[in-house]
Amino acid sequence: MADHQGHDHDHDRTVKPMVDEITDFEVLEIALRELCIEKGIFTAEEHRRFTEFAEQIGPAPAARLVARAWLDPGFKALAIAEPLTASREVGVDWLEPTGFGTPSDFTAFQILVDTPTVHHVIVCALCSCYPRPILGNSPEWYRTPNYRRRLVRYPRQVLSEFGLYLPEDIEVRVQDSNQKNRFMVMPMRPDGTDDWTEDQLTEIVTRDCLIGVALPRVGVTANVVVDTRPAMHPSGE
Amino acid sequence: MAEVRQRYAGGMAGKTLAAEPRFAGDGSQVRRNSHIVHAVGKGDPQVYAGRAGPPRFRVGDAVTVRELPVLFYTRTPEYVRGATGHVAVVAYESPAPEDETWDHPDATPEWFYVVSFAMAELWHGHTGAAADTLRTEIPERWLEPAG
Amino acid sequence: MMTADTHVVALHEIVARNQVWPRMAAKYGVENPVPPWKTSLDGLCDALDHAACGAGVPTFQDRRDEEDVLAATVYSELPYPESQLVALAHSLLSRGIISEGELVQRLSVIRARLEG
Repeated sequence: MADHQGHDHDHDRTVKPMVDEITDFEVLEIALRELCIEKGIFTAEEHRRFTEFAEQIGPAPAARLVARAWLDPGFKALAIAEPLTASREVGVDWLEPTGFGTPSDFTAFQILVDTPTVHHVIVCALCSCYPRPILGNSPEWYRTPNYRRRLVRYPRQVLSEFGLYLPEDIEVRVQDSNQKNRFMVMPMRPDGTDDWTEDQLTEIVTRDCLIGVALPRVGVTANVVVDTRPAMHPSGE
Repeated sequence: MAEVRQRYAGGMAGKTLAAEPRFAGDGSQVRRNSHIVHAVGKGDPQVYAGRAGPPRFRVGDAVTVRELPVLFYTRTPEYVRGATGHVAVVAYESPAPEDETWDHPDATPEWFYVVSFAMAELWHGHTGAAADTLRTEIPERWLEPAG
Repeated sequence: MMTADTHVVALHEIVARNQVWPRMAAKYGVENPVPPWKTSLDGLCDALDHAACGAGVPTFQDRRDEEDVLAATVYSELPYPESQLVALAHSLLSRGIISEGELVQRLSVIRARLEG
């Protein structure tokens, strides 16, 4: 049995598909980088550090933070009072990779806690700022003017496009993160998760739940697929 | 990502896709963001803590967003100009973005506030739920007491 | 100020050749939703944002605003993140931080080096 598994693992590795062509886009990225380094705009070392940062960020720490808060009221209180400390407990140091944070994420992180009467949803109408250190890169739809312009104006309409409908007696609270604060949502723990472990709970806290366009549900571990193209234009354009 | 390394290692006869600038230099010519000296270990905006004096507004204060002339750069949303809300959070001290883009080493920090607005207050013909609100961050210079 | 009317031949040719990730991944059966150069592009954007202003380098806000305009107009046929990359190249060219001549030359040097 073990040998069979070992053989399969080796077999998978040797036949894993790769794109075996050099694309114009790969070449363009290197060209821009080389030219900027030669012109003294930044150093290769700086680029390497920021690239390594980009490679290791993802939504898992934020999901784990929520799961742990659901299980431990003391940790939930810490997350509210000291979000940077709580971040470190799930492996995220907001001061990385420069010692004072990244140029676009800053170090003023706040966690928005949903209640039975308040549901939070996050946007950056100006430019799509996002809590990258704990949540990874933003999804494409979050960056579109379509989302940014409309969420601040018609939040319930936009949420319905993600399949999220909330009763009118729940306050939908839009957070436009237009300055240095960065936010994530701590949604409410869903029914049907009694006796679940932290790992099990982490699985159902998707990136969409952490932005506020979805609610965690038993059995749902994937993000909503949203068609981002074509961008909507007001009539007459 | 493991796949990235694998792709670079095997796909092109082992050639790395690292940049090969003609001269990399030692970085001493690169103009440094002044933060490197002051903010390491503290973060931004924490580096500005204590430099703005007492905040003018407190949590709960009713405030109106001023209609300031915008000559250059601002991050105060157009849709809140002239609107009235209340202070939800006294957030942090920082140079206002109107000043910060000029990279003034002596730009004076001010307090930033998370201000809460009723959606019905922001948008004419708001037909959505009456309880819905929006919060955004506004530097002190943009706020005045309501009423 | 940069306008979306500026037509950059070198970038237009890249768009026309259409070696975009959804096509390449489908052709080779690769499941990764993101091209391998994306994290390096993110590093490039962070490094630019980290650089001192005054070198003519676009600020974070400039870069994002221009990316929004270009991705909706001149490069609307490109998927993301190709649109982010090409919009950045366009921004750097239009500011004169790099010239089209040196970009074209560098593209062919790099391709030759990688394919050689």
